[in-house]
Amino acid sequence: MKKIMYILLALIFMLTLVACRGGQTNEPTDEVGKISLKYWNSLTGADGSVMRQLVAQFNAEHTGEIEVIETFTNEVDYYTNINLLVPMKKGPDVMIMHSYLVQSYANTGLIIPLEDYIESSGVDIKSSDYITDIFNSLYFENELYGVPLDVHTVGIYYNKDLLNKYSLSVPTNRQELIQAAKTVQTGEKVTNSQFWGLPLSSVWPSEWIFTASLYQNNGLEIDANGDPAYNSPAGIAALQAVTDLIHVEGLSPLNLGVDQDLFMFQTGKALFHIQGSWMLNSMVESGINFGVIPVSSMFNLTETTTKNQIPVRSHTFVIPKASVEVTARRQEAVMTFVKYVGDHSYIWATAGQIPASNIARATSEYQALPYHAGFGNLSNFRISAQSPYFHQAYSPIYSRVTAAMSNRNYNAQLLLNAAVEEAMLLLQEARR
Amino acid sequence: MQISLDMKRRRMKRIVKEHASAYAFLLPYLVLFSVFFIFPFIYGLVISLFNWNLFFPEETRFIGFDNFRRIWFESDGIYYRYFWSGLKNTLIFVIFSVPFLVMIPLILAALIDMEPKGYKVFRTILFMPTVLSISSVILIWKWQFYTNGGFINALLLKLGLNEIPFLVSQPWAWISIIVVTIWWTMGTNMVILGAGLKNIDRSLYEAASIDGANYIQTFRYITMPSLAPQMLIVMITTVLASFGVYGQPDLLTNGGPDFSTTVLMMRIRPLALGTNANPGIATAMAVSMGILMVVISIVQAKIIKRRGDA
Repeated sequence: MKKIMYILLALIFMLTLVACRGGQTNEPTDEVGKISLKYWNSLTGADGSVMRQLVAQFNAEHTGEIEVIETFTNEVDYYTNINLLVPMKKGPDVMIMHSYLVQSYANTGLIIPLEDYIESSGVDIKSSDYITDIFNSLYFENELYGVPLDVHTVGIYYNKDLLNKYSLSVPTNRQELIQAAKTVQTGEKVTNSQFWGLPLSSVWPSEWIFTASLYQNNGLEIDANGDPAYNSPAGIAALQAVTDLIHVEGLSPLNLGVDQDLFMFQTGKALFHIQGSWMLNSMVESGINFGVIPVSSMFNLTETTTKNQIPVRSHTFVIPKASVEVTARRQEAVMTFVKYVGDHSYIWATAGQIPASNIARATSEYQALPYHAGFGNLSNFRISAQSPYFHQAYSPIYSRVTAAMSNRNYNAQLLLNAAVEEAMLLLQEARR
Repeated sequence: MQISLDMKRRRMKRIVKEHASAYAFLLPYLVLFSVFFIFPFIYGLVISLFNWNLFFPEETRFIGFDNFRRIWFESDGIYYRYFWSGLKNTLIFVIFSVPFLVMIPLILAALIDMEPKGYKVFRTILFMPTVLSISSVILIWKWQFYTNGGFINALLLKLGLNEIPFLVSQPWAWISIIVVTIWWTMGTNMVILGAGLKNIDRSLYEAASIDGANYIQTFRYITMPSLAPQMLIVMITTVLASFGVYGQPDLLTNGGPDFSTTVLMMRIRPLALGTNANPGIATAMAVSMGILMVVISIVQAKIIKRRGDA
């Protein structure tokens, strides 16, 4: 009996081993007839339904030739899935990745250069058709790893009715912003003690706001070696420009959680709200009468040459390490899809994103969208510095920004030192 | 020798015949238990001894106990810092939550055991939070704890007091987490202890009252020793559950302020699967925590058993 049990147990182990190891996927390599493409993304919000619509449109126009099968996962699990499944050769044919991760994934070898794809497919994808800085940021060691779909950023949403009520014009710089917020806050507080001029959550999207402030005060995220560079006078000024709005100007209550500020704005309890372009549709649905202005020159404490800069990130098409030999027809199908979505990204723009494709932005459909121009001038867009270890070097500052926003008596130098110390340990580990 | 072996074999055959149906019923469970427990457990132990490379499986190397050395002793490394600060925060939670998680259910169980009018209603109400999922529990409590609009703070303001930043400053963040945990999990311990109280021989209480013992004395000398078996279970399961704390700080405080509520599980998970994954280090941390939990459980069992015997 014991023997039987042992054999049984051994069998179970072997079975699970086989199941977990996951063999090779034996896809047919003869590519005749319709080609099925697996396409992954992390677009699950309001923007996700627009992507579904685009994919359906593509499939309808390519019936019998190409069929795109989309799989979407929420962002938290998305990169976990990529990390686990692509090395097991269970990745897709094409997927979306955030621009600031492209260098790091290129460095690990999980995604592959795609110039060969473009060349062999003959599909017309060239840098001059895209926002130049965004396109150029997708090179790693002189090879192109991504084709940008969009850029997204944060803007300052304002309540039009309230500005009109106090006969104020739309602010164009920091002084005007603070002045307008103060005027309306003082006026409204008489009848509503819960009203605030510019409520700011200390948790999110504070990393965007700090980055805008860092750029506008002439600071850098990382230096040429990829080491942290925000521990500088500019970094201290950047922190101060953000936290002063709460601690000095008194335009926001302390310790707001994620989206508490959004909720206040959508219920008319705030004049201004700093939020991502990806939330645009949520604002429209809330029924509030709003407009959008760029964050340009809202955070510089002194006159700087970079005072108008706006941090942006991009959703980018990348191609994971392939599971089987990719035929020329399949490469062509992938690039046809990438090109198609890029050219039609004026549809994608209805979700709040700004198309990276110049072709899509030139369409009358895009030009007719009412809010997109409010996020700022393209020439002021600045994409994060490029390094395969950007995340390790820069992300430790995020929790320190939160700490400074929650504590009136914070010590900027101590916080920046702590962030750099953690970043250096993370970098040391990543570079091993 | 030959005969005894032969007898043994025959005996085995008989046992198998008699219990064949029992084994058949056990088999599905055994399969699931192997697939979802035994296999991952052993696989985890194996991973902790490797420099596990997610991106290039072929580069995975055996490195013995080097992962353990790095998290325990390599004091200038990031993993050392993650491990010890995470473990410290987990221990803070265990030390401050377990006494309440045992004492409060004990008091409630004793009160309900007196069977006052409507005790069944109270028992149901007190048990109810246990069936909720962690996400709904946190949703309910976040709206109590929020500054600027949260229920408790709105009440404080109405009373002319200052707001308390429950979720973003210490020690309030820990207090919030522990309060939520007590509310959420006290039901189970209450039921176990309540069942224990029911089983105590009533004649012991009568004897005590004849001897002139008051309530406190009865509780100390009759109730507590009789409850030892239930206490053992409650103490061990509560300590183990507290070590595994994850959902409350992750959802309520997000590990803040300044990582002071980032417990060890919150360090292990992203290390196992996240963007900067290092499964070898993550499993080494988990195994270290497991060893600590086993040691503490054994010590606890020893102490409580000795007390129960005395």
